[in-house]
Amino acid sequence: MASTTGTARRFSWEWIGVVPFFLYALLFLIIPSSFLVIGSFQNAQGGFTLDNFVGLFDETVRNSYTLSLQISLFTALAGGVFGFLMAYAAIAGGLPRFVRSFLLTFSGVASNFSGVPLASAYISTLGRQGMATILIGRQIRGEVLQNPNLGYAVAVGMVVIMSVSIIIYSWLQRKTEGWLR
Amino acid sequence: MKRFPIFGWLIIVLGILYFFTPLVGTLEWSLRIVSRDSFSLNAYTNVLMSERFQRTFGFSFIAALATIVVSVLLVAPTAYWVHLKLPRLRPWVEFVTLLTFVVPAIVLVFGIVRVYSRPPFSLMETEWGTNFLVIMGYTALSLPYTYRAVDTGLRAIDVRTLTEAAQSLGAGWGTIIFRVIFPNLRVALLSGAFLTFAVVMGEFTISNFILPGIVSFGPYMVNLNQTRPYEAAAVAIISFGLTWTSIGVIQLLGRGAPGQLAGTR
Amino acid sequence: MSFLELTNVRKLFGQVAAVENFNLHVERGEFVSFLGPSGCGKTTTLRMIAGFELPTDGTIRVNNKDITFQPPQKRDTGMVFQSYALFPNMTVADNVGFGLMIAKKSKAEIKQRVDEMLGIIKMFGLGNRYPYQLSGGQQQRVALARALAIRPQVLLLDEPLSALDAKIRISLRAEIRAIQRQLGITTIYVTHDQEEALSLSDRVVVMNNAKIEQVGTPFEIYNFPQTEFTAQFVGTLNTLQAQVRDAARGALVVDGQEISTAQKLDGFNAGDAVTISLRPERVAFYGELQKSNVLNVTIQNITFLGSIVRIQVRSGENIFYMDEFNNPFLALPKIGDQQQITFSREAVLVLKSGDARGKTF
Ligand SMILES: Nc1ncnc2c1ncn2[C@@H]1O[C@H](COP(=O)(O)OP(=O)(O)OP(=O)(O)O)[C@@H](O)[C@H]1O
Ligand SMILES: [Mg+2]
Repeated sequence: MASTTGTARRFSWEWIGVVPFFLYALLFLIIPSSFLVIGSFQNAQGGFTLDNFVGLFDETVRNSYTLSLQISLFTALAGGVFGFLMAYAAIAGGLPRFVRSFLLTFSGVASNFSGVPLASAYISTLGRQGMATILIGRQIRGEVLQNPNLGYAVAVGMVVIMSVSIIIYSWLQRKTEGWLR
Repeated sequence: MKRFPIFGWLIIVLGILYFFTPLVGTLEWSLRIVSRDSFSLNAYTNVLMSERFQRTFGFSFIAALATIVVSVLLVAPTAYWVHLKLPRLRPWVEFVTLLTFVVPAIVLVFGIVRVYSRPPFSLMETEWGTNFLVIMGYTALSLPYTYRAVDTGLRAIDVRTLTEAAQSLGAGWGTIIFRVIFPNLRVALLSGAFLTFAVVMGEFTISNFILPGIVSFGPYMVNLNQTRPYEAAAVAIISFGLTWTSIGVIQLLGRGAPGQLAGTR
Repeated sequence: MSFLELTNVRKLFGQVAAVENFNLHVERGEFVSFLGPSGCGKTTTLRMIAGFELPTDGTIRVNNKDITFQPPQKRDTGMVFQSYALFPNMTVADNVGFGLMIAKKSKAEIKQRVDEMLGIIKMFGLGNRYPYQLSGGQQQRVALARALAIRPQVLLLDEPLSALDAKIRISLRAEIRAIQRQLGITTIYVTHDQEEALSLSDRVVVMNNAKIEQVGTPFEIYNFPQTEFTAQFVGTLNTLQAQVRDAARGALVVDGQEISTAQKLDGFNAGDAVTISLRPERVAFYGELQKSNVLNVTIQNITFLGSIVRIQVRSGENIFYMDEFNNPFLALPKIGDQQQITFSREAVLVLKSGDARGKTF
């Protein structure tokens, strides 16, 4: 009686299917980003240091972070409130249908990220052309303080802020998905 | 009797004013290139005829198409496979696609330049290499859009049963993906593609850092802003028109075929 | 050698056994149903035959060829799903022709076969429609045609009618059976609807809790259930608790009253507790027709079911039903009345308590 055991039969090659995707992620997202993290812990000679993170509390750096955050927050709040009002007006305000479809078309890009518009707007503003981005660019090229490693630390700081935002965003979105179900 | 919805209309009109005032301003500005009192299309003809516009626009256009192809081929089969066989990996795939939001483009491009300007991968020296890197960077930017679109599309069809139906009729994986799954994701894939297109056409950071000089459309627009304000306004109007058209096309496609659509609506 | 053979098939999902000890031989051209309650492993067994699940143990052979590890693409089985699973992007004709296109048949041949199949499912001329333009019943007919177009060796159907409404369900099931007979195709049909299984099949496989309870013709399954589960699940069946009084005579005791069975009671001893079964339609009031067994009962409830009237009666701990054909002159007792009921010795079946493990049917 041929009777192969379950384990021997169950070995599967299914994971092969996702190799290209994760290989890409490794080569063009993870390895490049990890350079920053490593660099932020190094001084100009390549030794280990935490000075760069201390440097984050310098006035210039702190100011540009604060400014970035303020702009983002304001944009997100204004966008969220205004967007909500418009959506509410279109759906509950008794307006003809074509207004609604017009608005939908108009916000087509944003609607792909259904969920919490507030967080979404916050995140994209923060990530795109915020002051911090400009500062990072200049720092990395050594234009401001002649210290690229400080630039790395500034960038790592941003990644941290972004991560927190994304986590809050995902959490909020999961919650609203739950409500809608 | 239904009351006239004053509040609703007010909000909508305000919204339209808010969005269109700058647009109309820009449009008007772009038409005043010759004199303050008359309109002319010279800014548009200048731009459209200029060799730099054609070159950078052409470059970005082709880069956008390449990015769409890479992004779709990377994301769609992966999302399909994860959906079907490896649902446990789903949060990880989602995480990777969101990395683009976590890691600012400037950080990413900097890392890419660092990694690929030295052995074992010295890709920064050749034109082929830098073009390749730019496409890879653009692909990273497009991941969240493409993934979201494909994911929505996959949720809208019964992927597992369709796959099994095709399998029992003798279809292999290639046939299943290209003849059964992709056609049913058509709308989703297209909406992802158009979003990617819009993102790539306006992209500045990545191409500016990797490519030497002004090669792509984004840096060209920025440069134009600083040097030729009327033409810059004309380009802005053109880009806006393109984006508007793209989104319109997505909506149209979404409406086109009831029962077989998937994706944004 | 039978056409389709499942030998000692077992399927574990983690620690949970979805199918165990499954042994079944199906002859060429036979129509076999898997019948059982939700979660008993019908779909899992079907999916192992189709190749969508690998058995943890055991072998599956079709036409003398071991297909246990063959991928679904190579198995030559046609599958019909509960949810139709038509390709939404293709017309009816393209759906039906899909398998032939995969098999690289010529355009002319595909067209001819598609037309033939559309004729068989009585949908000639609807080839250009898309699935969303069809009713549920039509969609399922197209799915059937699609599965049959490749002339598979085995046709597998997983509750194909449960998404449809009652009328269509009955007409379509007759149609499925007619097409199956016409093409002579070996068919496995999964259902949890006993009427469907009994009316369609050559043989019925009754499953419960990952195992086969009984395999037999609809006649056997209905009239001679071998296990308590089969008796309960197929038809409305009364089970009564009894004790053996005298195995040689077939004498039993129910609630202190003696009855007898025509069944041989080999292996039972006086005093053994047994479960007996009794179909409601085989029980009558004493005096209408004289039968060998008589029981004193109390009337508990009376329900009109159209053509029959179902009466719930009670004898000691046993509560069970009897059916009377409805007619305008039927004289019914009142609830709470004491009555005598009667049934033949042949109607009394003593059920085996065990299972059918290790047997091949
Ligand atoms: N992929 C799976 N992973 C884990 N358990 C599963 C899986 N598929 C089925 N099962 C379990 O196996 C058992 C048998 O399931 P199966 O689908 O075969 O039942 P069924 O008889 O077809 O029921 P129904 O009539 O509800 O369709 C169930 O307990 C089910 O929960
Ligand atoms: Mg099932």
